[in-house]
Amino acid sequence: MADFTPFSYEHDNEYELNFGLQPLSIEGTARFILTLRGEEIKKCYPCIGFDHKAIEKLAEHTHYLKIPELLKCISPFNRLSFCYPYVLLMEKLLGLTPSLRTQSLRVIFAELERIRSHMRIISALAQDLGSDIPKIYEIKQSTIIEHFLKNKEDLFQIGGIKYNITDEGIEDIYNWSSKKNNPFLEKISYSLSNNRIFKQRTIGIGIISAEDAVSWGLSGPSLRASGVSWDLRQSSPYDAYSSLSFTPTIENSGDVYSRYLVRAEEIKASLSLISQIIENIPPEENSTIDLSEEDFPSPPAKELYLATESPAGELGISIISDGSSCPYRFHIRTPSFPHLQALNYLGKDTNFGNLVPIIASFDLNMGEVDR
Amino acid sequence: MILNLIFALLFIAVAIWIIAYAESKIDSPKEAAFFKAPLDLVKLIFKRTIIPSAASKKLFLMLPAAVITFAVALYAVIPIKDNIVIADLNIGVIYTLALLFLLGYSLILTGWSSSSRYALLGTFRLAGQLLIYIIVFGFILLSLVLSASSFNIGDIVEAQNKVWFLFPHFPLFIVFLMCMLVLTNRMPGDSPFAASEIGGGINAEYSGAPLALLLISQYAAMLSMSTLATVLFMGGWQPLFGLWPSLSGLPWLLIKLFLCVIFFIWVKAALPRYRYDQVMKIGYKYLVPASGLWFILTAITIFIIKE
Repeated sequence: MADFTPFSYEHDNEYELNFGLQPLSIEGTARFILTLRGEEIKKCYPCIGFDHKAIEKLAEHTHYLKIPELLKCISPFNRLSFCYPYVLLMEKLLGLTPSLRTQSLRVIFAELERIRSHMRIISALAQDLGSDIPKIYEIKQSTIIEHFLKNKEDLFQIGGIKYNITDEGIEDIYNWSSKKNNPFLEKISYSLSNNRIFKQRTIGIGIISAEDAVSWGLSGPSLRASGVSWDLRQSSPYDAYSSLSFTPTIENSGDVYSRYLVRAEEIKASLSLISQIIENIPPEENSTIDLSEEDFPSPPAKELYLATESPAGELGISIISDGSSCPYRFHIRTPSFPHLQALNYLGKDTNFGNLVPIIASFDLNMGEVDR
Repeated sequence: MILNLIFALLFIAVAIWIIAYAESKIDSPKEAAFFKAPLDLVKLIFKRTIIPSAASKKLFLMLPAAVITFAVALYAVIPIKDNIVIADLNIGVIYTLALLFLLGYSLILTGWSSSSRYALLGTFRLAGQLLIYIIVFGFILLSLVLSASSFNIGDIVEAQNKVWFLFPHFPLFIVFLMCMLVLTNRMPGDSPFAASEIGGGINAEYSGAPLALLLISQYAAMLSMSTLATVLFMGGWQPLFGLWPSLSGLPWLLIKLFLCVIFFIWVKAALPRYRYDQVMKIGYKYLVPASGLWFILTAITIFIIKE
């Protein structure tokens, strides 16, 4: 399927172009080697390795309790979401079950991050296409979410949460999430969803069929936009998700526009999930946990994999433990890596002007790709 | 030239204001808008100009000056009041057409002389757009020349003293607005300068003072095109329905100019950009046939009236 020889020319009038720093939608250092013929892209070769932090190797020499500090460095935006699968995995390994309130709080904060991430990627897509208005509204809404997440970057702890979240704090979130009209969603519904130019730039661009999407390993909103109903929050529910009524958002065309629509719908779904869970949250209790390295039990020797639904897609962590205080092997499955490799297939034989919206529709983070 | 520079700087300040209003950036300090453009200009002028080693050096440095000259030279044929005009050319319409060609071709050469692939992509996009939209522009001018039965821009303004050409030629005016946006490389048609796709396109290799010239020349071209729109469709210096005749002349011209300028900025704030082939498709499929048909219709109507 993929042709990984970037430096061969089939015709004399083909030329090569380095691409990658212009789109605002990519976080970190990306590089694509394009082979162009006029404005037609003949080959698109994504390069990796510019943001390598050796997180997986470092984790093999880090105490279990300190690994979340490493995981937070991977993505500057989704810090809680990156700790989430690790925390769940360690609880499974140690046989801990946190209280229902803790589980609910984790879901609330993970969903807040999802909303922020989706808003960021939608407004980056709009900005790359030349429309700055959604970005302004994104900044305003993100500031509110930022206020909720302030100083809570290490909230998720093995067996609980680090800080006590009071009922007043939760009520603030509820007041925001249960508002009828989110200004950001209202703005994009007429400046993007129903905009002629935006539709012409995105509909029918970067189409990936359901079979191809699965075989390229896509996940998250990008997979659901191709018509595959696969959402880990519903298919293998973790924490408090099992108690929520929830249906994944699906679009069938698999183009840039449907990936955008899925994200916009998921913001709505996340807002309603937050409201739903706050309405049923157990009463306030002191569920904070602050473990030290001395009283942390060494996990049994085992091999485990656990995945959660991060904003971009399936985020999995695999651990082989050998009974010591550090993991023997530690691996992360980030959603951005398969998404980047699918660009080799999607970026081919398309117009150069289409490449930017295609890239923007995948929520790429080069820090995730390289780890 | 210097007056135009000041106007362009004021224009950028107004643009920042209006975009801030359209995007409802209520918190942004609006007084800063007036200082931003002049300070940016000073910063760019004192920065070192980096010349790519493969670029053709003379053309690379000379052409931005040419671009801004052509953008400003249009004012020579714009009448401010009855018979007050720098050059009373009897072929003023052809002069504007020639200047637009020169403006476009100097921009094309600008991209070509950078000898960079990104600038080259921008150049090709611009060349494709220019080719088709100049034709549309020619058809528009022809219809107006027929209506005024003169090639002199002063006469075209005179012919609108009863009713502006905007009203009988309204479909043509819509075509003209699209044409105006594309020929000055503004928002829906700014793919030759798209920053997120081709890194600024024609401007990609420029830095320092030449870049400042290129950026200002775009605003100068927008002002020129807005002036052209006022003169061709909105009665130039003449008051609307004889309102406030004491203001006829420069004040009325500036009021109309301001409306056109707001249009430019509003479109920039509201719309995403077309892909370059979509811009060209609109040109070839809709605008050329529409403006051509309108030309024929105008000719027939005038023939019937004269008979």
